[in-house]
Amino acid sequence: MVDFKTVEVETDLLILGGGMAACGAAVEAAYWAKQHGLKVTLVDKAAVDRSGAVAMGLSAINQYVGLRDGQNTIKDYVDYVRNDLMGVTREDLVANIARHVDSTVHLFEKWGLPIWKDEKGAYVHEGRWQLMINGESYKVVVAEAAKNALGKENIYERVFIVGPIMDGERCVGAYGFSVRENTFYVFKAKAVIAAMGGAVHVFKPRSSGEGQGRAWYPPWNAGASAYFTLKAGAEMTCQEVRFIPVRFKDAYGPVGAWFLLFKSRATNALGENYMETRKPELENWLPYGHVKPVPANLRNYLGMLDVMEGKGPILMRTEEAIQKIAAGSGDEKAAKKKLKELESEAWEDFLDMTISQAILWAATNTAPEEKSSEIAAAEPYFIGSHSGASGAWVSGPKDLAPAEYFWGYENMSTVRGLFCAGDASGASSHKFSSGSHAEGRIAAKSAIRYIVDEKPAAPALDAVKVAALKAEVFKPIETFQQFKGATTQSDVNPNYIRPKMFQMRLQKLMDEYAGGVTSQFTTSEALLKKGLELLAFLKEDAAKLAAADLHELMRCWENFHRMYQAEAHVRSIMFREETRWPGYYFRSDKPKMDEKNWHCFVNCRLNPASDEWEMSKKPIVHMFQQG
Amino acid sequence: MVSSAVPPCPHCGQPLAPFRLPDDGGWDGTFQYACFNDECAYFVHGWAWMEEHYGVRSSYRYRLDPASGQASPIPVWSRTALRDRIIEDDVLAASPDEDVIPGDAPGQGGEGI
Repeated sequence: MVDFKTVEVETDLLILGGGMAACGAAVEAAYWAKQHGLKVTLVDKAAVDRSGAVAMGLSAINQYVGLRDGQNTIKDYVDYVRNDLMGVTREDLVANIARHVDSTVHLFEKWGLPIWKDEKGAYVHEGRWQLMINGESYKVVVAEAAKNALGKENIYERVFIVGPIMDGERCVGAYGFSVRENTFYVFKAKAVIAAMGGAVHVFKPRSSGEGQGRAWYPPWNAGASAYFTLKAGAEMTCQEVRFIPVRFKDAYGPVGAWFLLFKSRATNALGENYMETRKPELENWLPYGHVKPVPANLRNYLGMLDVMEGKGPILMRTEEAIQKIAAGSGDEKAAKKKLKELESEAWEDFLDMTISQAILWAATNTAPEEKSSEIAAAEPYFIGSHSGASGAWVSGPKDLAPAEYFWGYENMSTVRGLFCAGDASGASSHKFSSGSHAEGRIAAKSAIRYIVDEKPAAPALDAVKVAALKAEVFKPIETFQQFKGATTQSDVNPNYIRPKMFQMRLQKLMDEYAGGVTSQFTTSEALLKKGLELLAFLKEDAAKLAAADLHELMRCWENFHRMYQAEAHVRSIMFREETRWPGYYFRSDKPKMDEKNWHCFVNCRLNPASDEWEMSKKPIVHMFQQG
Repeated sequence: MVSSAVPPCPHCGQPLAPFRLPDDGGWDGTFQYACFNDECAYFVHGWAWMEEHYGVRSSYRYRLDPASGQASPIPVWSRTALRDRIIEDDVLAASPDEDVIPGDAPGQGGEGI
C-alpha cells in the first residue's frame, strides 16, 4: 500500500470549486472576510485559470439585465426564466441574481474583459440579455481577480473533493485527495460553499468510442456538487429538470451562428421546416406554448417529433444558406469571392469554439458550401445554471423570499453551514456565466454573515474519523493492488471494476431506462423502476471500484458522484407524474402537462441516517404578476 | 413598412424598418425596428470602430424595441445581415399580433452562438 500523507487545513470559509461561481465567491468573501479577520480557502480539482464551464472561453455574456439604463426590469428577467422553464422557477432566487448580475459584469469589464461597445459607450447586444465580448480569456480574467483577492497561499489546486465532513447536522468541511501527489486532505471550516459545477456523462453520450470525451458541457463536471450536497443531507430540487441542447451531431458544434449569421434553415430529410409544420403542437403545452420566445424545450420537441416519425435526419442547410448569400452579393466574380469568405467564416466559427467539429468536418470531407450537416439533440446534462434547473434547495434573500423559501441566510441549503451557487443551487436557471459569478458573490457574503452572526464552533474531528475517511478515499487503489495479479488482463477481473467500465454501465442504464439519446428521450414508470433496480446493482458494485493510479482514483470518485446524480434524477422523474418539458424528457405513461397537480417543485433528500430517499412537493410561490 | 408612431433613426434621420427577431434573442415580441440605411454614419463608422477597438470585422445597426422604447446597437457581420428578416408592409399590416415567422432556431437555451 502506498503511503499517503495527511494534510489538515483549518479555515473559516471553505469554497469548493474553481469555476465562475467559485471565483465570484472568492472575490466577495475576501472583501468581507478581511473586515472580520476571517480566513477563506478555495479548493479546485483543476487549475482556476481554466477550470469550469467557461474554461474554453465564450463569445458572449448571456445575462446582463441593463437596470441602470432602464433596458429591462427584474420582472422582465424573471418572466423570461419562468416561461422557459414551463412555470417552474424560484422567482426570489432569479430576481436576486438579476438585481446583482449587472454589477458583476461591470467588474469583469473593470478587470479587463473587452465587452463590445459602440462609439458612445453603449453595449452591443447580441440578444436582449446577451452582450458581445472578446471572450477567449474570459475565465483567465475572472480567475486572476479571484486569485488576487484570496492570495495564492489560500488556494489549493489539483485537489479532488470527495465528500462533506459533518458535525451532527452542520457541514464543517470537506475531504479529498491530491490528483498529483500522494496526499489526503482534510479541510475544516465554519461554513462551506459548494460550487463544483453540474454533471455530464451521466447519460450515454452521442460521442462514444473513439469520440469519448466530447460533450457539449465540459466532461470534468462530474456531479461533485450533487453528491456533496446529497451526502450532507441537503434537500435538492428540480433534479428531473435536465437540459438538452441541439448541436451539430457528434461533435457538438454550435448552431447559433448558422441561424443568426448565415440565416440557415434547419429542415428534416424531406426539406420541411419543423418549426413551421409542427407549430400546432405548441397548443398542447399552453400557456407556455404561446410565450415568446418559445421555450427551448418546446423548440427541441418539435424537431424530435420529426425524428420519431422517421423524417430524420435533421439537417442544417449550410449549402443553401451560403449559396444564397453568395448569389446575392453581385456579379459572378463577387459571388465567388463572397463564397470563399463565407466558407472561411463557417470553419472559423467552429475553430473558435468547438475545434472537434472542424476536425469531424475535415474527416468526413464536409464542404459546408456544398452539403448539409446533421444537427441533433444531445444527451441530457445537469446544469442548473443554464436551461436545466437541478441543484440544492436554498434559502432566498430576506427581502424577496416568501416565508416558505427563507431560513436565515440566502443561498444556504437546508443544511446549516452549507451554501450553494452556480450549478450547485437549483430552481434558478439562466444564470449562465455572469449570473453564476453573481450568485457566488451572494452566497459568499451570506456565508460570511453566517460565520460572524452565528459564531459556529470550530469543527472537531478526531483521528479515528480522519483515518476512516482516508481509508474510504483510497480503497479503490488498495483494491487494485490487492487483486491485480488475479488475471493477466487487468481490465477483466472478478474482484473489481475499473472506472471506465463502471461509467459505461451507468450510462447504458440511464440511456435505456431514463430517457437518453437512443430511447428518444422517452421513459415511463416501468422503465424507471427497472433503471432503479439496475442502479442498485451498480451501487453494490461501486464498493469494488479499482484504481491503478491517482488519475484513475479521480475517475472512480467522479463516477461514484455521477451515480448519485443519476439516482436523484430517476427518482424525481418517477415522482413527477406528468410530462412538463417534452423536449428534455417525455413520460410515455403520463404524456401531458398537469398544471393542477404538478405546478410545483419536486424536491428530494437522501436521509443520512436511514440512507433512504425522501420525495416531496413544494409550492411555487409567484412574486410577480403572471401573464 | 414605416409606422407613424416609430421615430426615425437618431443618427441619420431615415425611417426605421421592422425586422423579425431571432428566436434565441430572448426578446418577448416577434419584431423590432432597426435602421437599415447603409449610408447611416452610425453603421458606416461602426466598422472602423469595431476593428480598431475589438479587432473584429463587424459593425452594428441602431435597434429600437417598439414596446419598451429601449434602444441598443445590434451587431451585424455584413451589410446584408438581418436584411432577410425585414418585414414587408403588407405582412405586418395583415397580422400585427401574429408570429409572422415561427422561431427558426432549435433550443440552444441562449448560451453563446
